[in-house]
Amino acid sequence: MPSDVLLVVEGLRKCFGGVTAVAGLNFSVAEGQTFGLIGPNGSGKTTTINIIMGQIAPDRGSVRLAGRNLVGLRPDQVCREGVARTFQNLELFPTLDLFDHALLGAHRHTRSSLAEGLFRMPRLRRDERDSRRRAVEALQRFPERLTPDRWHDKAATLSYANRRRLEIVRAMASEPRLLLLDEPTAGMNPHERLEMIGHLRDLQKEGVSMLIIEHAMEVVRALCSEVVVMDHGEVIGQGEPGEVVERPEIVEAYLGK
Amino acid sequence: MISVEPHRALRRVLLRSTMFRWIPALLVGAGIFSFAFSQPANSYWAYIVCLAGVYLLVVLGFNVLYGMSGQISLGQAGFFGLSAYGYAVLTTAYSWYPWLAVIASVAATTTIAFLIGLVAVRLVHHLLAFLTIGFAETVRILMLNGGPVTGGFTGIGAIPPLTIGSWVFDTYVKLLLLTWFTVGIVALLVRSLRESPWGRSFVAVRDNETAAQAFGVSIRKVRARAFTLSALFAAVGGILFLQLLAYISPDSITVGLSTQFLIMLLIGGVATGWGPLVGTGLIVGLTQLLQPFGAYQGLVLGIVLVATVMLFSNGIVGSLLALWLRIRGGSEERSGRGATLVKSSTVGNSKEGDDNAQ
Repeated sequence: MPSDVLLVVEGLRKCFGGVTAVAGLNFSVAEGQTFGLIGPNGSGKTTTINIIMGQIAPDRGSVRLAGRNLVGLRPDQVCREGVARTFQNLELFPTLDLFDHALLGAHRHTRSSLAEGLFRMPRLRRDERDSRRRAVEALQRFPERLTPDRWHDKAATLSYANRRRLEIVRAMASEPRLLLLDEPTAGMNPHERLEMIGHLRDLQKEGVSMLIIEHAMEVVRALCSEVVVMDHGEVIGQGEPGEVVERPEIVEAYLGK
Repeated sequence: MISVEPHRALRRVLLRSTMFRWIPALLVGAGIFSFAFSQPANSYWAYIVCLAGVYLLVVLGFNVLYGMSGQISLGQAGFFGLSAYGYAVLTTAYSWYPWLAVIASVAATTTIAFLIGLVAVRLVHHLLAFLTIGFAETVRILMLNGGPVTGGFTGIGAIPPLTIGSWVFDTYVKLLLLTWFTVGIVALLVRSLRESPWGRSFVAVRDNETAAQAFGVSIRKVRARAFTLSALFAAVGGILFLQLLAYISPDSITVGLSTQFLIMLLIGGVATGWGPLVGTGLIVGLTQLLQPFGAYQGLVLGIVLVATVMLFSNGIVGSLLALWLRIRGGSEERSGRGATLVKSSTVGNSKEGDDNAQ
């Protein structure tokens, strides 16, 4: 285990009524690593991300980011610790435009009070300048898709694939220490998927630590150095992606006997 | 197609926010100013325009609460009345210096709103509406039964006017200027709020709580602050209302008044910059124009309002804005890039498909 561990998840457990969504999950993500969380539908992957983000409280277990405990914090507090996520089901703001989405992504860095906002005081101006810089940088990650002439279009006018890209833009504008990606290429065609792999590779090169949930194995193989395979909340395999997915028990979980 | 460089796009953002909106605002200001100087000191129309300004203050605050942060309140008249009564009691029964009474009653009203806001953050939609109605009614009934301090159902009269040096705000024209000066300041504050991180987080919470919270927005803080801010503006409106009428009674702060604020905003356009002005102006103006109908005034007003809502389902400003966007969007053909333009209803807020449910 490398010394520069960023995220440590230990003994994580969550039941919804009689259904065990996550049953004793352990893994850790190193600084700069791209870690994959895979498994069939309903295996507890999104629940895991929701727990890390603070949107669901676990029954047991701990989540630590660079040694700091995240369990018990609200999502906005987890976000301010440096975790950003994208949503599988696209949680955008219908009445805000693209630029506002990016600005809101940068929100965790703002410090100004309501009064400073009302009277446009110096700290507010500084906050806004920094937020705009972060927003422009994040939006420029998709120069061909989210062209500047569309930055003032409402999110509602975007195509499905562009909404996924906007989810990533918003998360990147927060300049997170850990990026949680919940099916970043869901609903994309093979060409768009390749393009997205390229963009995520760029993030890797910049040293962004990522935890990816993904069904498309080509994405997982291309990006992840390590994966955990989940099924019905249980870990059924862990290791290097190319090797893990060949194991018979994993194939069985996906395809049945 | 020429690609627009990012810094040019950035500049467009800045230009759009500053240049555009100044011209109509200046025109309105100049209109009010020249109107004030064309009127005799205590003209009826100066009174009406001043009253519209007072209501507009409350509606501007209500737009922050309902339009920006998405919380409903039917108790704005409670804050309005509480601060008016505060000033009335302090200046008459306790002979406080008027400006001190203004500061004290506005501060007290805002503090009470903040305390209610701490509880209200747990409530949404109709529950919050109930709570705020309950609060406004409590204020009214307290004032009704306040004995000699609040004057019971007859209320409090002979309110000392505000003064600045030797300048006494004792005529409708002077009060009109003071009120609309305050409206201008409040409108500027609301505008800078809308373009600040706070304003953005208000809208984000309204649009999609899950996403807003995941990006560092504290829902509790947003709700409590929006609630407090709207009460502050209502409190300032209450003071000016009292100056204008020089009299307050429980009958002036009924639930009907709260509803009127809601109607003004709905007619003008919720969450639009100019909706409050248009809605307030229209309702106050219509009430005057329909005077000749006598007993049937309410009936005619009702018909006009129903017709307006049917014609402009997003309020007058909201619907005209949507119409303009559609005309502009249609002529540009949206540059043909996004062939799959999806309707707005499918973005975000996918509550039934919430991944928490997994």
